Amino acid sequence: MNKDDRDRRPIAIADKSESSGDKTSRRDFLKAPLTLGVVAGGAGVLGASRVLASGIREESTVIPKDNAAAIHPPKEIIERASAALPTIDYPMTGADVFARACKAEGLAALFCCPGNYEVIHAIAEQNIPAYSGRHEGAMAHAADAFIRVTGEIAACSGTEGPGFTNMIGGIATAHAARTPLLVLASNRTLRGEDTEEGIQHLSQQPLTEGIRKYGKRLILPSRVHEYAAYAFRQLRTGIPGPVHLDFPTEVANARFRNAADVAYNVPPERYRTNSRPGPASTDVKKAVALIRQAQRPIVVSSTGVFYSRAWEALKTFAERTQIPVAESGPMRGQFPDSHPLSASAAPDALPSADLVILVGQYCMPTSGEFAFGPDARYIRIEPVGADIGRNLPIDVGIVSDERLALEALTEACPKMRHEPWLDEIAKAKLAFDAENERYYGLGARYMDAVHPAVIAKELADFLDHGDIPREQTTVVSGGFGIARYTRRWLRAHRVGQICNGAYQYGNIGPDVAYSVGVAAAVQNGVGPQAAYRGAPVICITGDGGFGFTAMEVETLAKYRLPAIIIVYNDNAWGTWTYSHDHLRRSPLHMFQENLRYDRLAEALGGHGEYVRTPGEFLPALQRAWKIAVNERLPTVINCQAKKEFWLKEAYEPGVLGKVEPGVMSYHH
Amino acid sequence: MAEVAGVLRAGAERGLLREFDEHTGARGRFEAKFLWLLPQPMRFVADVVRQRLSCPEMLDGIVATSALRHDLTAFLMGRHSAQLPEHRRVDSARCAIACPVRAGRLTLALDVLDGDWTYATEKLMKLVHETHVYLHRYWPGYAYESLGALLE
Repeated sequence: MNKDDRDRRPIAIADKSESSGDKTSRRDFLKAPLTLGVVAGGAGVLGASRVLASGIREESTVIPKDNAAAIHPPKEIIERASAALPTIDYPMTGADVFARACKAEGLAALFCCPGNYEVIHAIAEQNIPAYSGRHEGAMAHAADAFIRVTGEIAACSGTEGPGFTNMIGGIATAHAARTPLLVLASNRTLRGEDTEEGIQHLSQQPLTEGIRKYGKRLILPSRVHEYAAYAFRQLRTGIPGPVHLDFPTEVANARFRNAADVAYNVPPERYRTNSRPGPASTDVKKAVALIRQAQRPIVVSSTGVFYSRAWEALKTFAERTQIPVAESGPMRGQFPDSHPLSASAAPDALPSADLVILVGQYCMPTSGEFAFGPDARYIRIEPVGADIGRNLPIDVGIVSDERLALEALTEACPKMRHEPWLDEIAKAKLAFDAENERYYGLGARYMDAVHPAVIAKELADFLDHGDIPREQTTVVSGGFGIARYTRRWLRAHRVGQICNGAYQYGNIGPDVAYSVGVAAAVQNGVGPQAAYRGAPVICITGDGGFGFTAMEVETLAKYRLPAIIIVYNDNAWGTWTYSHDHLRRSPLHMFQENLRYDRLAEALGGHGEYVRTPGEFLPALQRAWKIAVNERLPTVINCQAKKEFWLKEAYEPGVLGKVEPGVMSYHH
Repeated sequence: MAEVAGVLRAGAERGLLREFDEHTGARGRFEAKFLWLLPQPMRFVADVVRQRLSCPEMLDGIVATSALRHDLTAFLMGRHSAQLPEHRRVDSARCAIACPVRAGRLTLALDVLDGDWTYATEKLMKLVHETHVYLHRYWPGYAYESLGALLE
């Protein structure tokens, strides 16, 4: 480990001695050593003295103040990492064959609710990290977020009928985000097809049409491995998207005496290729000609840069050509906001661009949704040609893996300078920072509730300018109105650092479930999260969204996933703003006032903080962080705001708009 | 009005301006209609007599005495500022920006001072676009109610 690596290691702001007698906690803690492991052989990093070789050592069990029985995870969860793995060999079930194929493909995690039993059990017994939550839809969201901050494949699973339909919203959200999500569901029996025998009959595949990349009801048990291959070919090539497999009982329970019983039983290198399409030289020449002509070129780096792992190639290209980069998409950090060529926080400059190089922008905006002006020319790079030219007219389309295209462009482009353009971007960054400071100044004046600018600014300062390495904390940047503030301040400094809320599908409410997936990714140190293994994660959400997946605080607590969930509680849906002066309409957008989401967290085995004034926010965040580090418990920070903050006339600056691409990206 | 038509036709040929339609009226008046940025068609009208290129009734629901009107006017007049880079600025020696409101409808216009209609057309397109970006950024409520922006 070199010095830079050491400097980047996660640090705790409270040590073990503090944790053993934490006077700031509102609870008493029974000192009963517990070991929470995720995967046999896994090891945490944070609070090293608390970590055992077999997993994360946890020393706290929560005893409520009223002396009711302690809330704690059952010993089966605590000890699961050290439980012996069964030997899985022939004779095997269809579920075992499928799970073994998943293991061979590197399936990185499973998020599920009970149901589809044979398959989820078989996956767990393959030592693939497996988490169960409270709602299948939330688990689909968790898997989506896990993938978005790791780049690895994860699965969600639910039972036939209702368990499957509960996942629909999560699948649709993942589809809009182009997430390679493996969706698994049991689905009754082949022999009982169309009979309505028993319960939970449903023809699943038609319901995911339009929100999946590939789907299949498995029919022939002997082809279960072959269809695993179909699934992973789709998940690992081209433009990603969800793949949905449903398992009739005859397939999951099939018995195979030996390998010869399984059709097309070959390893991954036989049934798919890692080969990627490279750019045509004529297309590269056309692109280089446009780049050389341009005075104010800009790269938009999006989803495809992440999944093709093209961030180093992007950095090299940008630095050689001195072309600035703005990010968009369902995850951020492929091009650090702190890089001098970053244009992600320079919204004023975007309309000046005369050439836009869209790299992996799979979810394509229509004219006017990105801030580029009428003069802008477009180069679009994607691994599949079917979408190139949709919505926005192109000047050059390049069908290529994003990394290969960027490498080819780097080779073909001379070193360039765009100093006047970079000066314009630098000025735009300063102007944006100044505008944010002004908003914070306005928000901090309101003392009777917590203004969103206070949350945004003080959270960002805590993450970027405090004792925590700024690369460390992975953030679920969700919410509705609150996101319009927090995204202005939050910065991504490394790959996989920000999971951008629900993204284009606009689903309200996945955020807490996202934090399950993101915290699981960090807990296991998967992909870009490896260096930050075990670190706390942050989730921002609103009170409307919190209601959808709040029960997953129990999942976070159960697995000791240290997520700090900041709930912007303004007593209303964000939609209230546009109907507030219509008395027959506005009640439809309101909740009861002053709800105690913090107490809900405590009831579910987490920690709660209730913040009512601007000055209380940062101390609450610091306490939550300490608890996350030392006790590995989730916290809900319930920030009491008021819906009137969105009214510009009364509480400037009111609800904020956005400019895309960049830090404010919301739809694309 | 060949210059105005040339710039706009080029936009249509590139696929930027959709459902493009044009006609020339009396006394050299040129009008083009197309879909761009807004759900409803937008018009560009070149009036040789008045030496004015305009996008008539571009915005609806603008109350003349409102904060929105005041802010929007300040933003638009600020497009003449020497602080802006040349490619973002409307040179006040060549065109003068006007934004009259009648019956709640704002017309965005450039008075062509130097006879360069190509310059005026390119600048009016940019001005329309920048106004669109500005409203989405600073007036999201108006963008939702009047520009077809999504509530979410």
